[in-house]
Amino acid sequence: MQILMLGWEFPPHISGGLGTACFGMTQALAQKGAKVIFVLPKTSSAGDPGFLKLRSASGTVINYEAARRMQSVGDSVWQDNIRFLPIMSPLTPYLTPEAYTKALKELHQSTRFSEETAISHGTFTYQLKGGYGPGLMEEVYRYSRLACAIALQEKFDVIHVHDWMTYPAGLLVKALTGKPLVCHIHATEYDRSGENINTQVAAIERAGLLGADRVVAVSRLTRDVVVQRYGVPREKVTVVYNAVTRPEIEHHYVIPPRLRHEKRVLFLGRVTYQKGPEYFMEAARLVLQKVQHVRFYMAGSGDMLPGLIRRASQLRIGRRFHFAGFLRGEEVNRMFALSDLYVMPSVSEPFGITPLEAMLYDVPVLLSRQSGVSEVLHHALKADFWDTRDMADKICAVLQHPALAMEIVQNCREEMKTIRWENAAEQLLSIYQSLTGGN
Amino acid sequence: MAAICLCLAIHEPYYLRRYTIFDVAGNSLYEDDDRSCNMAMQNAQSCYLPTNEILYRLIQRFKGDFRIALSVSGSALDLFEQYTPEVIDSLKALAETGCVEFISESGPHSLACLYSKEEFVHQVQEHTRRIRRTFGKIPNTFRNSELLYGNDLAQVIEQLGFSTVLTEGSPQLLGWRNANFVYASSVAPQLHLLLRNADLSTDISQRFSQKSWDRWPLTADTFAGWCAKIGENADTINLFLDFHVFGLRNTVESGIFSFLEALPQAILQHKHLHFLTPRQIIKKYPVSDTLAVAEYQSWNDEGCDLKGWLGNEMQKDAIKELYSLAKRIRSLGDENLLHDFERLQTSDYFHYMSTRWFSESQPDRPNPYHSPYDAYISYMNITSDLTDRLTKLEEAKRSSRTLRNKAASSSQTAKAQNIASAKKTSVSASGEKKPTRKRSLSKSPTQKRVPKKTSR
Repeated sequence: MQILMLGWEFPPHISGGLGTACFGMTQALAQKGAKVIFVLPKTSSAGDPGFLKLRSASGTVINYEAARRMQSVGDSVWQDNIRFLPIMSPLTPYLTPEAYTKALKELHQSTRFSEETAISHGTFTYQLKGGYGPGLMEEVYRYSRLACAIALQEKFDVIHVHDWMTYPAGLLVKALTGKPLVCHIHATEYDRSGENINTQVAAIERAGLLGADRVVAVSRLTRDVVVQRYGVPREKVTVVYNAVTRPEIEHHYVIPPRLRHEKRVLFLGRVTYQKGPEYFMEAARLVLQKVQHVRFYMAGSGDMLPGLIRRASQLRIGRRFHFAGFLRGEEVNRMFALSDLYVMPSVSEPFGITPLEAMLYDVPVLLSRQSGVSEVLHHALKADFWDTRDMADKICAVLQHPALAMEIVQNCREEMKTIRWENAAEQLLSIYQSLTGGN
Repeated sequence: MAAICLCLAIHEPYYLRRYTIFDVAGNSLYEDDDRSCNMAMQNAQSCYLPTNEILYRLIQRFKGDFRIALSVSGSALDLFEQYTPEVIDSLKALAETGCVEFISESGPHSLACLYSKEEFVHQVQEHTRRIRRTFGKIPNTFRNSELLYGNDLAQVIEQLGFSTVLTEGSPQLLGWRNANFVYASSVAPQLHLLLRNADLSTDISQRFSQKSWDRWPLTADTFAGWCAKIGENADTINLFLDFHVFGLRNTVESGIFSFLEALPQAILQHKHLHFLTPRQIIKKYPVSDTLAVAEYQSWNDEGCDLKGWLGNEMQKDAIKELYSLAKRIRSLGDENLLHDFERLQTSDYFHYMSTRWFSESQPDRPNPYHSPYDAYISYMNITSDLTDRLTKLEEAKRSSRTLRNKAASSSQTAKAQNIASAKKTSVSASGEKKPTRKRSLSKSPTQKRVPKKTSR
């Protein structure tokens, strides 16, 4: 089974959970004997994990023949399905109106960034930057053409694309090659932005999901969103839960003696609307009324951070509420290992891999019920994200009753044994097989 | 001749609120009245009233040939009295037929026997008195919550005046023997043991509605046929059932009521079978052997152990926390506190904390919490509030006592002075004593008022 996988993130070219998920998934697929060609917008020399063929879309030569074939199908894919013409715009996900205005100004001041380079007559290429910088739409458009050029060079049975950035490319490749298309949805526009959606992004999502032969959702929650918002037939959507790869934890972290009498509660994630950081802070305020010797840590950055720092000072809880900033690699591990409780109060979380990572360090977790991961974790504490009193009550309980934390950790450890990428890979393989007719 | 011993256990818990840390020391309303009331009404309609009516008719029809034994927990009685007194009336009607033996248990349906023998004895005595008051019957047979029993308890139960205990016929206890004979305790030979026939009992309680079961649907005739076969080489077939079996665990649609209605006739068709209650059985049949029950056992479906109630750290933590207050609460003797303390002992609350709950929930006894962890958190907050109340009351009592002691010591010194002065002038002694007595009497009302004020 050869799979052409189109993705926007892959470690170490990573910004969030998407890359982590793609890595675990492809690794497990490779172990099961599948050959994966993974097309990223741009790769650096640093990362080639060895179990798959990683290709960079940026700089791929599009020759005359390819351009002509793309032209013939490309119009229908872009104009008919998506009704969208690429324009220069600084749109990125997780953008507030203020930030958008600022970014637009900057964009107009700067020159165009990814120039089309003609190599010879009729042959040309683009340079892509990757990530979610300004001009994302433009990049998405160009990525779709470059990915097509790669697709024409490679042999594969199935196209598997991850999130909306790669859906146009997937549709284009499907139209060109006639191979079945699997659209994997890790997060919908409605998860990222609530009701204030970016209509262009939503249009691409809709086109991709409707045009796909099969849709893979990361949770039942996401499946419901996809079915209700985009009108995708329910039977076309399969739920495949994410998992987590257990790393070899080499480092043993020791809690500094001066901190031993205290407990630490952690929030780790983007400080944006979707992740519900303000509910975490409100819960912290309530907990601090009841329990001493506890510190709250908010790790991550995002557009809500300045406002929350102000809020913490207004509430006079700054002495016990710390902002750790954006953490990387080793720091993240250390943060997890030293925590007594991990809280994920997300307003909307299609899956949410971080609680699984916290559990690798035997940290009990408190999840919002509005998250996909709570469907697979039975032995986690759960609360509705808006019910901060309930959340605070549960935080207090974990801090005060060692029996509770112990029981949760013990049962979660058992549960983690069943949450494996191998299971997800098996599900995906059977989807591929049903689409290719068992080849 | 073999006896069919049909014992039905009635128990309903009060539902507790989702009680948060922000309620602690703010309010002490632990119970979810709406939910308790709804459940009581619902269960009365679909289970207790129709079943009791059928039982009453059957008893009337068979004129002494159909007999049953009933146990009613204290919390169930409380609930019935509070919300559905018609259930109490229907039970009283059954009692008046003379064909129903009432069995005693611990009032709050508690696990007290494991943590405090004094508490256990107190609860059983109270409940036995209550059964006598309510139904006019003096229980002679005892069944513990969840059929809990172990050697430890034998002598205690015997001393409480019971001649029989019902417990589980677990395979590890029986070994080569079978449950269908009368046994005696190895520690208290006067105490009879009647063991549940697990197979036949679960045929009705668990498998009756299972369409995947190869004997489904089960008719009364088939069931009576199985009893008859076993009865050829048995003294007593003990069917111990949760009352919920009729109408709740098996719904009306499953045909359980028709099954019950047809059962006596089907059983009595076999000439070697007859219905007896525990009290009659121990008179009629000899003790076949003595049994030592070294470890506590229950009627839990998996393994007959205590894991459903005390299987994990949360459950143990919660119950230890509660019973650590037992002595203090009893010695203080505050009525409200005692009431809440007993209520909180109901075994269901610990079952809600079972992490095996996800796999083994009974739809007729739903876990009101989202998860066992929520159950534990809520319960611990309640115990914390209870402790808080207890401490405050104790402090109030102590401060009033010190006041009284001060007063008492001052009057003592006065007395001593009197005596001294009496020795000096023996003639005028009687005249001098009077004023001191008067003084102490006049002081005492004010002293008594002090504790009342502080306790409020």
